Amino acid sequence: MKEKRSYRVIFYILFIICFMAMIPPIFNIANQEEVVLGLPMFLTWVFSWGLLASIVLLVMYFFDSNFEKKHATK
Amino acid sequence: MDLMVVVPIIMLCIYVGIVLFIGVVIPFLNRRKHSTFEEFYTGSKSMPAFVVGMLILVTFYSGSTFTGKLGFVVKYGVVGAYTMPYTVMSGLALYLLAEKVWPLGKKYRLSTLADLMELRYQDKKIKLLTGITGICMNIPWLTMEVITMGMTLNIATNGYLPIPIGSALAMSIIIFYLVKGGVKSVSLVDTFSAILMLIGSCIVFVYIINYFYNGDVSTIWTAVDQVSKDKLILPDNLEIGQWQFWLSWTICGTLGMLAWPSNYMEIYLGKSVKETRKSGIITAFGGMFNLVYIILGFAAVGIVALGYPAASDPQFSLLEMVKLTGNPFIFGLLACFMFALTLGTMDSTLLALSGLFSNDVVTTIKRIKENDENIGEVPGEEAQLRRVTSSGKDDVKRVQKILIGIGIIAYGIGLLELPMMVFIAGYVYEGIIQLIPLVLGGLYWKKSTKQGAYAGFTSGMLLFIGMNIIGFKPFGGIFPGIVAVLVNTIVFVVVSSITYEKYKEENEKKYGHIYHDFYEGDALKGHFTNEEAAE
Repeated sequence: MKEKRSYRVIFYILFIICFMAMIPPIFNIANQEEVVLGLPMFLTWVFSWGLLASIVLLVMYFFDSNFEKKHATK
Repeated sequence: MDLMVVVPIIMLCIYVGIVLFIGVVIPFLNRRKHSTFEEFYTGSKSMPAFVVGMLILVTFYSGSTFTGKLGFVVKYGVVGAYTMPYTVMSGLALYLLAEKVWPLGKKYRLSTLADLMELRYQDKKIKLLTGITGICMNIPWLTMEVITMGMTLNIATNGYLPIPIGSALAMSIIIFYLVKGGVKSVSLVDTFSAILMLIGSCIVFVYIINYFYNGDVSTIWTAVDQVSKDKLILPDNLEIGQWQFWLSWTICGTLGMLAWPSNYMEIYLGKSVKETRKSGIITAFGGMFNLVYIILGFAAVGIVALGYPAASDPQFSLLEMVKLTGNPFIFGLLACFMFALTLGTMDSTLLALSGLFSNDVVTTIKRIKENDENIGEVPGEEAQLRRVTSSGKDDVKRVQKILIGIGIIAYGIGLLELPMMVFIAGYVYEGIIQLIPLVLGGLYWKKSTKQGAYAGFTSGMLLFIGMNIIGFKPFGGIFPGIVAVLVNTIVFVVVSSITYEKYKEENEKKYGHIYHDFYEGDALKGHFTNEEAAE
């Protein structure tokens, strides 16, 4: 029987949001001269979304590990 | 000779000494000769996540990071941050690929992407096509690093070491430890190089900010604002396009990860799916490290407002900026980690390329002539073992000879005059992504057929080459390779759909066990780790 990882849909949606935020036209929101958190706004924007995507990937890893552990014991 | 020359040379000599020790002496002390190509090329799938992650990181942060990419920030400003999204997304791509590719690689004892494609399509010519594409797209990357190695040594020695001699010296070191230790030497050297880069670049970063900007990063932006305000935002009239360039790079970089030959070598290095997944996470977080060279690039722009001269060439901004500080140790450290990065990119690319040439081209042509069975055609572990061990030692000897040959050729081409590195890298990515429909279709879509793969690839590649010849960039600057891969995908899907029923009739009975392993969810559940595979 095929393993179902339905929780992954949520992670995929989060990855798509992070990806979309880092590309045009959405990233134009941050294309301004202001300095935010010590960096030009555009850099802060790209860095933050990239960091968020990396954290989401880390969380997905823990979900996957738990899922595989559960299936291994079944 | 002044200290600014002597100290960097001594530091570089120490670095080379360490590299030779860990790349040659340690594998020699192990005294275990490589008995198969799989062992030489993938270390028999036995590396932990940290080593694989560091290897990928050092490939991503090539020597051109602190020259070409930093120079790009100096010239064009924030658009230079284009590397961040695709590095992060590449980590995700690696994570997802690992769970599909690693178990298949373990079960069928695969070493390259082309091996995987031969297994899926049961066609040796597709393997040949994949291998040749990988070689063509890797050679420019290799030659780019040849010149970076020579330039780094030339600047580090204040011009005493001419570029051709520096490149030759570095190339000889790489070939020496690659021939001796294969991927095991690469993993040891690259782990050391990645750690040196991570620590070294942080030290240089802190020193530069302290020296020129009194330890306050925010003053960089005030300085940049005075001399080149437009670099803090994405300008509308950028000569290379604005959103088109960014979008093209994000797509090409992420897709390129899915088809880049050395990445498959790195996936197969991991000792389990879990370890390879972890290396994907390391890659994603490693993407954040791009911020270091981006800020350093802006620091190089801002020093003009502080009364210092602008760099003679944007690509050498960091080296010249550190020279201005007059600190020989920081200059030596910079030279060491820049050299380490070129070495790291160079060794893994050279090894990947030699493997492709030997395993995917030479051996495949021989197997086509002899009408050998395809990978996985005969089920069972014994058949796979027979395939990799029957001419194992000859395979290793061949790849070692090819490695020396490719090294010499790359050196020769590398010394030719080349345009800005970032643009060369762009062409390479556009070419390699033409493999994407063939690879992803084969991995995730049961209806993929070899006819679809040939038709899609041919149309995509012809379109990519044609558009480049006439210089057509759609939508004001989108890379032609992206349009070509879209057409490639459409052709692949249409032709596969048309030919699937006949393909199924001819193949499903004979290769049912392979389709089962590719598409039946947990069919390879038992091959998640080396231990489970052995059981």
